[in-house]
Amino acid sequence: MLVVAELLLQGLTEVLTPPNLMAITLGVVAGIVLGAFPGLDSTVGAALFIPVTYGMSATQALLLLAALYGGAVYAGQIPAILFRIPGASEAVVTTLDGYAMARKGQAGKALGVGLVTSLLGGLFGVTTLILLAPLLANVALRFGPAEYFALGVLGLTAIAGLSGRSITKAVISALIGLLLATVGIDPITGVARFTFGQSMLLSGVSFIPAVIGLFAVAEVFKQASRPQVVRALDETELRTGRRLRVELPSLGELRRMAGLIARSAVIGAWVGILPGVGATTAAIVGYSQAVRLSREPDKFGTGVPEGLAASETANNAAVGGAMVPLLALGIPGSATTAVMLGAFLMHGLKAGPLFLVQQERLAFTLFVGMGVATLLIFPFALLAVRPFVALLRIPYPMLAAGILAFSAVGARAMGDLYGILMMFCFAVLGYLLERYGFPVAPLVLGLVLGRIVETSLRRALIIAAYDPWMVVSRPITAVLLVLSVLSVAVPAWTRYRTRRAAEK
Amino acid sequence: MLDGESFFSLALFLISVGLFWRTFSFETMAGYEVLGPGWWPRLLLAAMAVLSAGLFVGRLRWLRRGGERQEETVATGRLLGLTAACFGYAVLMPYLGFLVSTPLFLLAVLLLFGTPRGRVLALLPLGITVLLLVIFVKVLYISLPRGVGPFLYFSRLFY
Repeated sequence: MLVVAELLLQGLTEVLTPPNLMAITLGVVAGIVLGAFPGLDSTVGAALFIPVTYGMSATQALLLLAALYGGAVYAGQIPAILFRIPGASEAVVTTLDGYAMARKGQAGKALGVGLVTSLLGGLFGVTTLILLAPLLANVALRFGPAEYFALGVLGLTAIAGLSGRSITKAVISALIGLLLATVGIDPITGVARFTFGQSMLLSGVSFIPAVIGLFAVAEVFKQASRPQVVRALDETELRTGRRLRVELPSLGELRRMAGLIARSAVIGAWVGILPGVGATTAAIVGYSQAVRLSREPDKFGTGVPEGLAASETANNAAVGGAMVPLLALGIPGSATTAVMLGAFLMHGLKAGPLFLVQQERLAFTLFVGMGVATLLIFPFALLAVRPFVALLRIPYPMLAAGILAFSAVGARAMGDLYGILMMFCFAVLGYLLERYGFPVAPLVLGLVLGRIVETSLRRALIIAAYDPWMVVSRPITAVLLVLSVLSVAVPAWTRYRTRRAAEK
Repeated sequence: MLDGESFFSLALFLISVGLFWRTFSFETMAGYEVLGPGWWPRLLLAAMAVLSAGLFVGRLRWLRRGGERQEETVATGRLLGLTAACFGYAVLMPYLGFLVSTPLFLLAVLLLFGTPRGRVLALLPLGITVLLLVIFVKVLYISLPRGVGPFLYFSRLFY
């Protein structure tokens, strides 16, 4: 313990040197700016900044990229709350309650809750990274395909909480998402599926263009379909008043949500540790747990701070979590850490168990640096919100033009020109789904979890010689599946009892 | 008579059946006869077909019982115009380049939304295009399409 404390102190001394502090500040600012732009998430940001770090020392480079990761994951919530545009995929779930709060005239409060819970989640993620990394990495190592399948199923059960008026429509929406996730090369056999001879579909449906289309562009389509076009979001939709201020939650409010925040932080850090899963899934699982454990699950999605707190705590906690397998095992825990692996190689470092032994000092500098970056997000976030808020007072037609152009270029930034085409296709789909009462969130859930659920189930069944019992009876799998069943059954039972009581 | 929702459910059912049929054209691999590439999509599509058929039948019954249609008035012309502008932009950008196609697209969007003619209409599309160009090309070094023929020469004057 003393050794750890000494290493942390050494790390802090190292972090506080001007060049390292500047690298962290640059990373946080760049992360916030990039994260707030649709289509430019932490992964793109890390990829864009790797060449920038070429002239830096390894310490500065890793600090900058880790700070950028944290800043971008936080900033995704700003456009998600204000415009229903998830700045990054991690903020997809944030749009549900964040935007709904903004529409109720609580944009300032939503931004405040998002900021504080991001901070708490981020700090928990870093603490997890420092204290529990070896232990948690050991648990994650025991996960096989069957456990990943069960984890995916647990994530999918969130549909029960996101169903709106019709569970059938929610399930159909999720099935469309799961089906869209099968487009492209089958990861097990290498066979092309549903590509219709189009090479652009071989790599599958690009997530960012799809999400921008479903949420941001579909919203513009929705406004365009109204006989009377709204004048400005500020006046007719969000009612934020002349001067929107970030309203930090009171201690009482935080105390009321303490259990939910703690749970989401643990879920976020844990999911972040699982290789390849990442902060987006962390936010979804965190949110779905919050829905199913709530006494009022129906209120989620209508603009409750609890929904926002759950997703933001979880996705920010996942940042620290995702660094665990990268540093301890050399396996990236998310797309962004996969890109960061490139920075390790560029600076002659090898991520993995030996990194923590041979580069102990650098590792602890990185740990402390991530903590400092998380704290630095707070003041910079307060500064970043104002320019975004000013956009609310712009006449809607002008804003619509801006949203469409930024979304198109954002989709282009994630790939080729087909990204833009794909984005508009998803916008039409999102508009039609919403128009006929199909919730869009389950589709996104299916799209994110589809690959994990399918490949894990098929691999698990192949390993178990096609015996489903062998798959579901593994201890961790069984626990996760029982939790999945309970998470659907308990809210359904509660709803049934409430209805019966009301009838009497 | 079908309403929008029943028509949408029917379309989902037909798409599910069509795609289910399509899965049988997937290449088969030796050793993956049981859990081949079509196994999972078939499972999903079967479920989707059953559920959307259920929705369709349920909606028809509801309408026959005299249920209200609840169809909102839609500005069809503006919506179709916007859809055409978006797809036109996506298709034409490789040929016209970002610098020419974006202001034209934004101009179309502003006109569709009914922005009063004037300075806004003239300056905003150009302003947004220049801003995006500076951010994405000059700062972030993301390549944007330059177009072909004369448009390529024009774009090269700027980036």
